[in-house]
Amino acid sequence: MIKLLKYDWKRNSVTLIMAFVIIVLIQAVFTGAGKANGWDPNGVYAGMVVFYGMAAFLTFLLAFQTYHSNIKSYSRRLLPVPSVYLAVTPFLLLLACHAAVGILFIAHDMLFRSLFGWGRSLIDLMAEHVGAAQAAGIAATYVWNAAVTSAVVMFSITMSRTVEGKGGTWLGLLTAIILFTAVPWLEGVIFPVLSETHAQIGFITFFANAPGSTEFELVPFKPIHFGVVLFEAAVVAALVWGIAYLLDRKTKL
Amino acid sequence: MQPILKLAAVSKSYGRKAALQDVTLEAAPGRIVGLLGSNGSGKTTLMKIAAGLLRPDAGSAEICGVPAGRATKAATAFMPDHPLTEPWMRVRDAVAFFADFYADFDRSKAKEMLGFMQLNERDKVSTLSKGMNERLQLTLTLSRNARLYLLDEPIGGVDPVAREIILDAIVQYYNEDSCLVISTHLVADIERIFDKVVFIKNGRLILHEEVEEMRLKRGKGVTDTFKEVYAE
Amino acid sequence: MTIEFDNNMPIYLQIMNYVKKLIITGKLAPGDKIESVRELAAELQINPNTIQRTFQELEREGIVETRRGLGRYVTNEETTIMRIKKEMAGELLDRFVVGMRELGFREEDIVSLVSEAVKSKAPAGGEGEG
Repeated sequence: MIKLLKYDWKRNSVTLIMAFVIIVLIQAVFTGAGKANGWDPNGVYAGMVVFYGMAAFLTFLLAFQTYHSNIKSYSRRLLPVPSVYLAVTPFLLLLACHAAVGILFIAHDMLFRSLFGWGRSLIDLMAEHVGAAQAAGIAATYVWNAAVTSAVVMFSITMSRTVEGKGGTWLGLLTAIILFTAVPWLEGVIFPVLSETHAQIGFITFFANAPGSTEFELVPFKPIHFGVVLFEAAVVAALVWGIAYLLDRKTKL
Repeated sequence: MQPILKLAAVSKSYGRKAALQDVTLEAAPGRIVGLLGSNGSGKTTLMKIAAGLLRPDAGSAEICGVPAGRATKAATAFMPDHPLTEPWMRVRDAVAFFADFYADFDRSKAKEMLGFMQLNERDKVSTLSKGMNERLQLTLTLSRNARLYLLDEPIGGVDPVAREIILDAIVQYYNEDSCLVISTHLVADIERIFDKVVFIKNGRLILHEEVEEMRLKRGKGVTDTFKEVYAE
Repeated sequence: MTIEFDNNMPIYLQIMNYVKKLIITGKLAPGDKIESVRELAAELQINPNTIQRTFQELEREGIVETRRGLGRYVTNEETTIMRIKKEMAGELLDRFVVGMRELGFREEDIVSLVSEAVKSKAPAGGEGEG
C-alpha cells in the first residue's frame, strides 16, 4: 500500500508543492500587508483562517480527483493489489496534506502572535479552554469526519463508474446526496439526545467558525460519543466493502 | 499439461447487448493464439475477462486452473488499447512502477528491450509519438515473466516501421512456458506468428483452428479465410 | 535469409523447401551449423513452433541432425544431399511434364525443346546442372 501511496504522491507532487508554495506566499503577503498597514488583527486573522480552510477543502478535491483517476486507469486497475487500496491511499495522501497545512497553520499562528502581539489566536483560545486530551479528541474527530466524508464521496464516485455516460454521473450525485442526508438523519433518530450538539457528519467543522465579528466563537466540538462513532464506523465499513465489491465486479474501465 | 488459459461457456452482456455468448477455448503453454474479429465483436471483452478485470455473467475463466480475478493478475500481463502509463511519468518511472508492483518484472530484460526499441529512459511519456508509445507499452508488458500475455491490438494504428519492430520483439521475447494471445484486425502482417487462430463474430466463437492445418486443408491462409468468413 | 512467404500454403513446408535449396546449392555446406529455432523465428518473424516443426521434418528426412548440446547441423551424408536434389528436381520435372502435356506436346518434342532451351539459356549465377 505504501508503494501505491508513493505513486499517488508522485502523480500529484508538482501540484502539491506548487500549491504549498502559493499558500505560503499568499499568507506571507497578506499578513505582511496587514502588519504594514495596521489592519485590525481580528480581520487579518479571520482571513488567514478562511484561507487555510479553503486550502484544506481543495486537498479534499485533489484526493477525490486522484481516486477517480486511479479507478479509470489501467495501470492501477491491473495491479495485483486489493482493490480497496485504491481508495485508501488517496485518503492517506489527504491526511498527510492536511497535516502539512495544520503545521503551517500552527507556525503561522505563532508568528502572528509575535508579530501582532495579539492574544486571541486559535492556539491561545485552545490553550485557555482545552486540555491536551480534548485537543487529541478534536484531532481525532477531525480525522474521523474526514474519513467518513471520504468514504461517502469515494463510494459515490465508484457508483458513478458503474454506468456509462451521464447516467453514471447522475447516479454518483444521487448516491452522495442520499448518503449525506440519510446518515445524519439516521443518527438523529438513533441517538436523539446528541442531535443538537453533534455537528453534521462529513463536513469540516474545524474551520466552521464565524469570522468577521470581533469575537471568536468556537463551535464546541462534541465529546466523543461511542454510540455515534460505532454507527459511523459501521457505515464506513459498509461503504468500504461496497467500494471493493463494485471495483471488483461492476465498474467499467 | 494444464492449459494456461481456459474459458468454458463464457457469456457476458452489457445491459441488453450480448458481448460474448457461450465462448469456450483453451490455450496451452508456448502457444501464440490470434484472436480475430471486427471491432465490437467481443475480442476486448474476452481479453478483459481473461485479465481478471471483468467477471463473466455465465461460465468460467481460469488461468492455470485458478479463476481469473485478483489472484491471477500477478501471472497475467495485459496490454490494453489504452496506456499503461500515467502522463507525469518518464520512461524510467514507468519501468520503476512495473518493477515495484510486479514480482515477475525483469529489469535487465526491460533495459535490453528499451535499447532494441530505441527508447530513452529520460523521455517523457507525454511527448512520445504513438508508435514509440506502443513500443513502450510492449516493453513493459513483455519484460514481465508472466504465464499469460494478452495483447490487444498491439500493431493497430502504428506506422509500418514500428510494426516490424513490434512483431520482431514479440517473437524474440516469446517464452515457451507462457501463452500469448494477440487480438488484431490487421491479419496479414501478423498471421505467420500465430500457432492457431480464433475467430469471434457477434460475441460467438465461430472458428478455432491450427493455422498450418488451415493452410493445408483449406489452401487458404488466415487473411483469406478471414475475408471469406466475415464477408457477409 | 529472406523469403517471400505465401500465406496460403503451410509455412513450414515453405521453409523446408528453402532450407533444402540452400543445402543443394551449397549455400549451406554439409556439416554447417544451422541457426537456432529462436534466431530463425526472430529473423523471419515466424512462430517458433513452426520453425520447430520444420526442423523436426528435416531431421526425419535425414537432412539435418541434432548434436546433443551443440545444436543443429546440416548432414554430412553426400548421398542424402544428392537424394534431396533429385527429389526437388523430380518435383520440378513432374510439374513441367504435366504442364507440357496439357499444352499438347508429345514426348520427342518435349525432349528436343528441353535440349534447345538448355543450350540457349545461359546458366544463372554459376549454378550448373549436375
